[in-house]
Order: sequence, then structure tokens, then C-alpha cells
Amino acid sequence: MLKEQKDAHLSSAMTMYGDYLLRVCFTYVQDWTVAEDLVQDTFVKYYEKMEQFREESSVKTYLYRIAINNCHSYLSSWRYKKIQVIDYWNKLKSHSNNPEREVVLGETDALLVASIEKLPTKYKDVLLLFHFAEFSLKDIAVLLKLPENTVKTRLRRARHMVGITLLEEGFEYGSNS
Amino acid sequence: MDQIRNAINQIYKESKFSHDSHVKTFQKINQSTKKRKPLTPIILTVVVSGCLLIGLYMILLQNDIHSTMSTLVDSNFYPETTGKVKDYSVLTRPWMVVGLVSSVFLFIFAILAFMKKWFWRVLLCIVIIIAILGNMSERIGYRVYVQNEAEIQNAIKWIPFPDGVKMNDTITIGHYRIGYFSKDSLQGILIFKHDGKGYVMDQFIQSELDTMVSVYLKDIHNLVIPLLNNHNIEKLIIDTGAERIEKTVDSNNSQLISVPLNSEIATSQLLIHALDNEGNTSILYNDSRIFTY
Repeated sequence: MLKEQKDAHLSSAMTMYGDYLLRVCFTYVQDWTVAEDLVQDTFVKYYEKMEQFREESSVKTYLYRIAINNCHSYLSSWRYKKIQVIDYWNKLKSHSNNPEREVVLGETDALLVASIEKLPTKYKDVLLLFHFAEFSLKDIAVLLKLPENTVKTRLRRARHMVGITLLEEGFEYGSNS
Repeated sequence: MDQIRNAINQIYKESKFSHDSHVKTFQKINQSTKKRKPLTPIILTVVVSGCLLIGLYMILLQNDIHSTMSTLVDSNFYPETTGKVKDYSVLTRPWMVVGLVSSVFLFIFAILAFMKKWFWRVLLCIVIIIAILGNMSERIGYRVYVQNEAEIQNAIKWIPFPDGVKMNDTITIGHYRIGYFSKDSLQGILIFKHDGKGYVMDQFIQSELDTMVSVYLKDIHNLVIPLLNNHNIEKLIIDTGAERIEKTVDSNNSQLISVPLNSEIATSQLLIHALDNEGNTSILYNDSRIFTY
């Protein structure tokens, strides 16, 4: 494949999936700069392996898989843990919440997103891939290298947890269906 | 549209994978294609591994330069080495094996960590490896080989005994060599056993004041009886229960008397009598003062 063709494919992929991947990454890392960095790395990896993809569907699967793996790696890195400790320390010192966050939390969608952000990673994976990225259960099973039944169970629990989280805050959402 | 998808898109609608991000992605791609295969981690791993292996080799071979080639002496044809060499037999002890295995695993993990750029873990692994190997090297002792009386006297510095000893006697019986020495009223016996290379220091027996213990060499059925200086013993009578052996003593110096026995004996029945120059008989050593080796 020629370099110009690869560049064009990459530009197209970035236009098509960039925003979605950025949002997915942000739900994991809670930092736009880091999320952007992770998405850029995702596209760099895609560029390096571009010759392997013939179908558009496999590109989407690959991009989400790499993005989620990048997020997992970041969350288990010392860099992230160090930031967490510093944040926790700053919170302890200031005793105040983020006012911007408080305003946003006044909305239903914001509450739903906040409850998704609070989910444990393994539940967040399936919930985002199913509801946000619109993958089938089978695709998610392949993407996460899990049995399909495990994906189903995790999805059911994730929905349940989101529902419970919201109910605790006075909203009804995320039924077990 | 799915409510979750809708909510995320709604909340994060301001966030876009901007043109700047596109440009940065291309910059990263250009950098990664320009980048040559990273040799630094490989070179560093090789260097660190080499240093560790050389260090380990140096630790293990430390002071071995004192040992010399084996030579064959006397009619028994026991090869004799002299000097001291590292005694690695300690490495077969369970905790030493655990230490070695742990070091190997840590080293493999350190290489893995290095490849993954977990430098703090690499450092931690190296510190632990050095600590384990350092501790192990401290526990590796020496095997002290002797060829003659002077070397036996030198070997005494490796045992907890006061300086300035007087060598009373040495005796070689088969694959055993025994040194008998004293300092003031303290006596000591050093037993050297042939290990295939030479006579190596194996056992140390220290006496109480003005007494000593006999040594029964079980495998060669031999009794070694030390006599104190200025004794007035003319004859030793060894009563094994099954047989009675008499041994004439030539001088009244401190010395070792070797008494070959016909067969293996039970030391509980062994009694060593001393007949002095006035014809009196006394028990010189009873079973509680006979060391079976």
C-alpha cells in the first residue's frame, strides 16, 4: 500500500472514529489530554498494521480493541496511580468538590454518564462496546477474548449497576432487561 | 438511538478529536517510522547480565588462587592438595537453593521489566538479586587442605582457638590426618579427612582444661588416643569388651597414639586404662570421653 493511500485511510478512520474513541477513552481515564494521547497511539498502531485490514468492520473492531487496551494499560501504569494519589491528596487538602462537575451532575444524562464512569473496568468494557460502539455480543466476545455468556452476564450486571447507582441518586434507569 | 450512547454523546459533545490531534498522530507516525529498532534496552540488558554473571563468577572464585595442583604422595597414593578453596557444598542447602532459584526468577523478571521499561521494578529486582547473592556468598566457606604439620598449624586460624598454639603431634592414618595442638592448658584436635583431592579440615574437638578426648575412627576401626605433656604413662591398655590390646608408650611428651582395632566396636564398652611408671593402673578414657567419628 502506498504511503498516500495509507495516509488517506488513516485520515478517514480518524474522522469516522476519532470522536467516539476519544469519548470512550475519556470514560476510562477521566482526562481529555490523556484520552487524546491514547487515541493518537491507537491510530498510530492502526497505521502500522493497516495492510492487514480489508473490511471496514474489522477496522472498527481493531480500533476499539486497541483503544480499550491502551486505556487498560494506562490505568495500570505507575503514571496513573501517581496522579490518583496526588488527586486524592489534593482533595483531602481542599475539602471541596469541582463546581463545574456539580452543575453538570444536575442533568439526567450527566448522571448516567457519571454512573458509567464509576463502573469497574470489566463492566465498563462490555457496556460501552455494546451500547456506545454498538457491537454485537458475539463481536464483544471476540474483541475481549471472553466467552459470549460471560459477556452477557457482565452486560446484565453492568446495566444493573448503572441502574442501582442512579436509583441511589434518585433516578430510575438501567433496568435489568 | 441507544440511551447510553445518546447520553455519552450529549455530555461529551464538545469534545472532538481535533485537527491538532490528527496532525499530532501523523507526527507520531513519522517519528515512529524514523525511529530505528531500539538497541539500547538489548545492549543494556546484555551489559547488566554480563556484569551480574562476571560478579557472580568473581564472588564464587574469590581466593581460589591459593589452591595449587594436586600431587601424589606416600605409599597410600592419596592425592594431596594444599591451600584453601571455596566450599560450594553449602549451595545445596534448601534455603540456598531457594535463594538461587529466586535470583534466577528475579533476573528473568528484571529482563522482562527492562523490556517493558518498568525501570523501578528493574532497580528493585537488581537490589534484591545483589542482596541474595551477597548473602549467599557470605555463607560460602572454605575447604582448607593441608599437606604437612606447618599447614595444619596454619589451618588452626580457621577455627575458634587462641593464637600462638604449640603443635604437639600429627598423624596420618589412611584417609584421615589428625593434628594435636595445645595452648597453655587447652588442647585441641583437628581432624582432616581425604575428599578425593586432599586432606580437608573436617572436624575440630576442643578439650576442657588439662583433659582431652580420644577419637574412634569407626570406618577404619582405629582408635587415636591423645596423651598430655609430661604424663607418666608407660603402657596403654585398651579394653573393647571383646579384646584387650596393650600399647607401650615411648616418651612422656604430648602425643597421639594410634591403635588399630580388629573390628568395629561399641564405644559404650570401651575403656582405656593407663599404666604408670609406678605400676598403678587408672582409667584414662571412658566411653563418655571417646568421640566417635
